[in-house]
Amino acid sequence: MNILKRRTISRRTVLRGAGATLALPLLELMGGRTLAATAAVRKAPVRTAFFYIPNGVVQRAWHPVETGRNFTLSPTLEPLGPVRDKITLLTKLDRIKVAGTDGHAQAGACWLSSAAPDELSPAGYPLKTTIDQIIAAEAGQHTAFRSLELSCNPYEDNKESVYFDNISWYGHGHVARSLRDPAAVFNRLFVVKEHAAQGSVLDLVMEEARSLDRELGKVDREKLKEYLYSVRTVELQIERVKQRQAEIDSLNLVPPAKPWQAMERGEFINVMGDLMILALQTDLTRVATLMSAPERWGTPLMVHGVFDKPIQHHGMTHGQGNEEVRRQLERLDRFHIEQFAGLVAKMDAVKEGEGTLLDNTMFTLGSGLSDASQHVYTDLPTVVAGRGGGAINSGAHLRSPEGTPIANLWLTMAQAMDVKTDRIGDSTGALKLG
Amino acid sequence: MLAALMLAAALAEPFDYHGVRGGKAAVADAGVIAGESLQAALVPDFADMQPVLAEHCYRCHGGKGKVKGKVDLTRLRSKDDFLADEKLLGRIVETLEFREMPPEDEPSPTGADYEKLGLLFSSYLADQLQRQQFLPPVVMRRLNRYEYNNAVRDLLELKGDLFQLPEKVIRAYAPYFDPASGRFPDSVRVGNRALGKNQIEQRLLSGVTPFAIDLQAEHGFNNRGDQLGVSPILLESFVKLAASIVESPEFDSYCGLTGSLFEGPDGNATEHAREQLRPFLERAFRVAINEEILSRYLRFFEAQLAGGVGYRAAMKRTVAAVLASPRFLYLPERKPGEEGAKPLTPHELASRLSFFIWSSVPDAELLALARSGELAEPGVCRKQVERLLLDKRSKALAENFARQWLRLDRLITAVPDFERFPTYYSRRGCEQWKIGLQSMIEPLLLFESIMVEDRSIMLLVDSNYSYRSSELASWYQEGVPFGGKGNVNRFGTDTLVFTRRSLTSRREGGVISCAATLTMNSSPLRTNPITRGAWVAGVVFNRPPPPPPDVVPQIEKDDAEIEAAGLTLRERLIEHQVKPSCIACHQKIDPLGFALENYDAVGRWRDSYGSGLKIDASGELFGRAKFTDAVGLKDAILANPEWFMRGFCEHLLSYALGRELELADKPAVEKILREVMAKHGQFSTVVSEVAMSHPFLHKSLPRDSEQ
Repeated sequence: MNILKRRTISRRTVLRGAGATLALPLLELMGGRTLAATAAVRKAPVRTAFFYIPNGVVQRAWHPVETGRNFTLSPTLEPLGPVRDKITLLTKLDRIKVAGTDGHAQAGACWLSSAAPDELSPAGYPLKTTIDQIIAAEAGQHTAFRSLELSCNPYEDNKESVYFDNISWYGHGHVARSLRDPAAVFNRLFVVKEHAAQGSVLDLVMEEARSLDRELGKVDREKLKEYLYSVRTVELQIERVKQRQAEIDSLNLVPPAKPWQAMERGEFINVMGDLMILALQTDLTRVATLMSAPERWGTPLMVHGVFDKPIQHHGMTHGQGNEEVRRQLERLDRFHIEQFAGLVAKMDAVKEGEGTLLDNTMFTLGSGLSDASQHVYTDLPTVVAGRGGGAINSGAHLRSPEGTPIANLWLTMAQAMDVKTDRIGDSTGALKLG
Repeated sequence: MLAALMLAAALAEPFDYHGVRGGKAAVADAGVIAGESLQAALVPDFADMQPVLAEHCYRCHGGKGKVKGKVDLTRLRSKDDFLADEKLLGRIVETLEFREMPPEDEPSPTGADYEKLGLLFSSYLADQLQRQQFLPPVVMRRLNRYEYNNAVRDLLELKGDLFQLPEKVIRAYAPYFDPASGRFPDSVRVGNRALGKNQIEQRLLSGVTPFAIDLQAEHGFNNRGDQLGVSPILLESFVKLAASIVESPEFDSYCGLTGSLFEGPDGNATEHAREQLRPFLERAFRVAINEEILSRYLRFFEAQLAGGVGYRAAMKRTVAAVLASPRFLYLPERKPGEEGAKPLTPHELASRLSFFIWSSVPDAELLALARSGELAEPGVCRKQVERLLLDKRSKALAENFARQWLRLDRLITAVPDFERFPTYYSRRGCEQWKIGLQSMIEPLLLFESIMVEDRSIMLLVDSNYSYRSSELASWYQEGVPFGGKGNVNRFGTDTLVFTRRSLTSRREGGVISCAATLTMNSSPLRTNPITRGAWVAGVVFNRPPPPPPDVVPQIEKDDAEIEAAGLTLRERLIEHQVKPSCIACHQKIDPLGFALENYDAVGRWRDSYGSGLKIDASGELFGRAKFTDAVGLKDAILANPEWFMRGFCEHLLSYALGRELELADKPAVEKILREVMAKHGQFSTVVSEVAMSHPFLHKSLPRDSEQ
């Protein structure tokens, strides 16, 4: 699983992580190599990333009592201690669940949605372009990859639909499907040869798509737009990756060798997280989403180092009435926070100009439900790590007034990322984080 | 027309569905479809039926200002009023079909009045749908992973699959599926991927890795346009995947076109390529190839040649480009010129047929008939359906349709408690080895045998035979299976022999009472009657219950705990239904699950609960057929075969179309059902009637309002 060929640096340092490895000189080194040249000529860009945890969190262990700067981290949030000054805890942010679908169906799929509750897609979801993609439309103009969608979905069964497996959408019915295989992510990001060979094929299929387009009815043309859009995006991507070819080559990266199926939970999340951080750090993209696991999916899962036996996260949320189950669930929540905290610390270890990568990032952890036992879509667990290049005055717990839409937060982020808009979905105004 | 059907079915003698076999299929239709004219004569007048509505319906639906479920029937005073509210009309017809109203504790109209009401509103609905001639459009979709594999395999005449996919549950060690033989073998040697993981990890072509699996729709299949998108990542995968296939070191010996399509000529390369590419493109794109399309790929080929590679390499790159083209990856249909349902072009029809029955591209014969236009003739089309079904490639219906229909994937990750159900596991101390996964093969082999022998689909409810390995046989029939040696290192994991076994007990057989579905719908420590009931409602009858409310009370996970308090699971669940809103739904779902309560959490029969408490498996099916246990449930379904047959036909039609069914499809479903009923559910009739149905043969623009 080494990512670097050079012998002096163990690749394990980078890609193992496993929650514990916080200081990563390697990332710093690579950051120095890749960004040193550019940092002098331009201000470090602001990045946005999202970390999804499914099925809500145990409420009693989540909420700190105090608001403002002097809050005490709750038991679940304790692992964030080392980076406490660089996080912002947000409470009382809501989404409105629209009747007609199952309790979990809108949790992940619509978490980042920019649709207001009355804007339903044909499938019955308040789901249109997600905030990461709205931001990517702007920020992606400057990077090789418009955005990056990652998932640590470990399940090999077919239990849930596409709406449970993805949080990022280009628009109605057009899912930005996430990559689950770290090796594939690596190849996509860092193996330049892969991209170069595609050029002429893309010209051909683009021509074909345009000719097909003339034969289709309106609905099908909409569908074909996904293809046309994808070709254009990949073409641009190839161009931009080429421009950075020498730089990427000089990193001497080696793909993760261990198949994800053989990875332990923490290891899987950390390897994906490391790849995400590398992509942000090297400015190959400025927008990323990372699902720690898909929504619901009642399949048993081994969470190594936390439980001896496979657990069913979703089932446990409905068993919270039982004290023992609730304690187990709290351990699982804490495990997720540990993974997140580990990635946050790694970002903070990457020097960028005067500050760190984390200072220039808004890395948001959240879930589409608060209390999953009753499928509550209000007071969603939300932690923003990083300072967004100065947009966020971190280190506080901000409790919003009753009924504040989470879209207000997305609006704040969009504006911090230079998206010209004053409304996202049902937002009522940008959330003040500065 | 529907109620007439139901009457006729109810009056008929109990029918032995095991007698339906391919070849002697021409079973007399017993006057079930006595003709539309007779039915027309039976349709009552609204004026005659209104008093029945007034007596039994108005009290909750409009009378005295009470409007339950937002349904006000009092404002509908004539046929035209009903026709004006098509959605409500559809709901009324469905409610009557499944006897959902009036609620159990309210007096119901007499049987005859009930039939007449059904007849009346069905005729209204038929008139209304006839009048509007609307057909829901099929959204253009891309091939899913299973189809992609089959399509590339058939297009390039590969010796086998492109990759080993978990979508193919059964791995045949020797080919056994041959519908033309009319006889399914008595024993088959298969491998179960879950027992031998190497089966899916084995690479057939080096360097070729599958793209991510396509997920099933919530109550449907993984072939719906709205859920089969293309993203930049996926597009990249398609481009790379195509290149990796033709460049794989094993490709030349694996591909049947190595000596033809890829073989360079002695003379003019371009001319030769042109001759070779035209038929290849027609097969790949399923359209008549015009000069514009041909020259596009020819130019690409020439550019490769000019770049300095040889003929073979240039052709490989061209083929890779074809595989990444939208005409290959999608199932496009040309825009119909005007409003309303229009027949498919012959090429489009060929494509729909082959993707329905083979999950793959059309073969040369289908394309020839498309080219000549003959395929548009109903007689020719029907003959082709028969031919496609008799071809080995029709195994796709079992692999792709049946697996998804039964939602069998759920079994892969079922985890019966390791201590409580040691027989589910085959290795001491190792929860990864699940002998119980063998059970996944059983319903699929039953399905395949019904296909090959062209038997009645009612055998899926109640079969007097089943295919089982010796372990599975022991599982069902021995009080202590495996001679008490479960959970020890004694089972082979490579291949399994499944043998056809006659069943002596009607507690076994079919897909409802098989270990696979019973286990996957259970929890680790107990059965889950609600999940089982919802599965029966959704899968068997295609009437999935609405999603549960957000706040659902919890029940103990272990039935031993419940029984320790002196309650059965059923009593405990009823105790929990405090709100009328809970009761209304659970009255419909739960009895279907409790009917199976004699099967424990791994599908083994038990006479009573572990604590000795008595099992109550009684219930009522759609308010019409009472039963006391699982065998009684089967009897109730057999006595009212239209319920299961309609569900099955709807599932298959939805699968064939790649979209959800809508009210507008109802006349087509009823027509299919009529023919299928007349043939007592013969499998080939179901497939051919679906393929010959109006929505399958036509395409349509969306309604104005939806554009």
